[in-house]
Amino acid sequence: MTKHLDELQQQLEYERIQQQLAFLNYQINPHFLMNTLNNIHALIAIDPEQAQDSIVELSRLLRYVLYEGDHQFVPVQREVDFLGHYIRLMRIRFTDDVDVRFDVELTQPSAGIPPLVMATFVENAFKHGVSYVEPSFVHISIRTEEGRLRLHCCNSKHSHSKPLAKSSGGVGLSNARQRLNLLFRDNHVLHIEDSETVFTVDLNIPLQNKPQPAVEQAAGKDKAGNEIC
Amino acid sequence: MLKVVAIDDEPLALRQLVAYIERVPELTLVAQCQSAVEAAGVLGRESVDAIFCDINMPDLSGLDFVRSLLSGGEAPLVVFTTAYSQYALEGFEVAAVDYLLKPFSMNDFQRAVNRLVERKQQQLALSEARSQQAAEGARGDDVIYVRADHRTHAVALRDIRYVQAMGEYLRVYADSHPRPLTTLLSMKRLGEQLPHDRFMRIHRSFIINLSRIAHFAKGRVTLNDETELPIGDSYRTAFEERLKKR
Repeated sequence: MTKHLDELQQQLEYERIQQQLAFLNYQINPHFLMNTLNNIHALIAIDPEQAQDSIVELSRLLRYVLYEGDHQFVPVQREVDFLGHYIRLMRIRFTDDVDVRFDVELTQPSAGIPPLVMATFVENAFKHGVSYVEPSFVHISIRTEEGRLRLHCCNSKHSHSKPLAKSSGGVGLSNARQRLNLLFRDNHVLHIEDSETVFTVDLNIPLQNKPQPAVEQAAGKDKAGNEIC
Repeated sequence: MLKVVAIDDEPLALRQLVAYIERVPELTLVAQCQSAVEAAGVLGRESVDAIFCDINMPDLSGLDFVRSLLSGGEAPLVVFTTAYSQYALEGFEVAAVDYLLKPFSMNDFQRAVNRLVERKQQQLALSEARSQQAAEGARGDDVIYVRADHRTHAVALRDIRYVQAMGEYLRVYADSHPRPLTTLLSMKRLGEQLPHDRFMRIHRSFIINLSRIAHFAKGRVTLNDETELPIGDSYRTAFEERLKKR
């Protein structure tokens, strides 16, 4: 009887966490989607080939968010591919004056991580790091080593950058932090440094070592995602 | 012809906006700007009828920019371009002529231009009416005040047909008043208040509104309400001279 109660309680706890996680899940930012469509719309007249490429990038990005965003784990390579699509789509929105770097070194590309676990940090880096009037940068690096994934993400800050806590980025970051706590409890490190000129995120999470079922399409073909910018 | 400024921080978005502007003959592009600060500089130098302005520019949000514009003197008309939903924008209560939701078609753009043109015409008509009013106000002659029946009546000059002297009193016949207004005033005093280009004394007892004359013959003038009035001998020459001039 007690055992049964324990199980029931565990089940309830599990469901509660799943519900919270569903609430905290990354959702595509409609503003990003509309601005990207607007840029592609302009590109069609200027550079049809790049416009087509961009639509393919956007389709792959959407497919990942829509079909794999609710998986428990995805191969880390899939997440990296997604970030590559995102970064290349952001790239068409500003000039080459913005210094964007995306360095990836995956020794265990098929190890599992929860999907979209890095998305909020990368999105924030672009949202607050890019300036159209002064030199700016977004540097992202992702490594896997000894069963762990390390994300280092930093961006320049500008005179016009709003304090994070007051902008929507603050909500995004706090949701991401809660989600990490639910997913990994103590087994992760999220270090955020907000200096005068640079905003830095360091994330360290465990890799799920059980090999993930290969996702049939795209993932294999899109290996080029490693050296993107 | 409307002089416009295009504002968007994203180069491709700005290029598309400019391409649309250049396709509309009613619009002249004064400048294209990648920031609100840049746009503020242009607006300080040039006269601009309307701006197309992106919201969510990083250095100063489009809304703040437009708010600061509206707080100073003659503000240009505003069309917002945005990736937000219109619903989200309306909450900010900044008076925009239209919203263009990105991405938008040439048809959407043309609709916004039509609204701009319409609004500009309204503005022009309004300011014309105002300046006309101001000019009339400056002459101070659109209305006279007549004390009668224990009140003071405002009587528009264009409504006055004629004025008749009755002893110490005057009777003012006006379209706006079914019965003549009887007031204690001399012909001389009233004559000073009525503009000489529109009214004339034709008799010891009569002043007429010149625009009300239907016809006249020797010694008599008929107004267009069929009132027949005598022309005094001593006023006749001046009256005939006057009508020759008109």
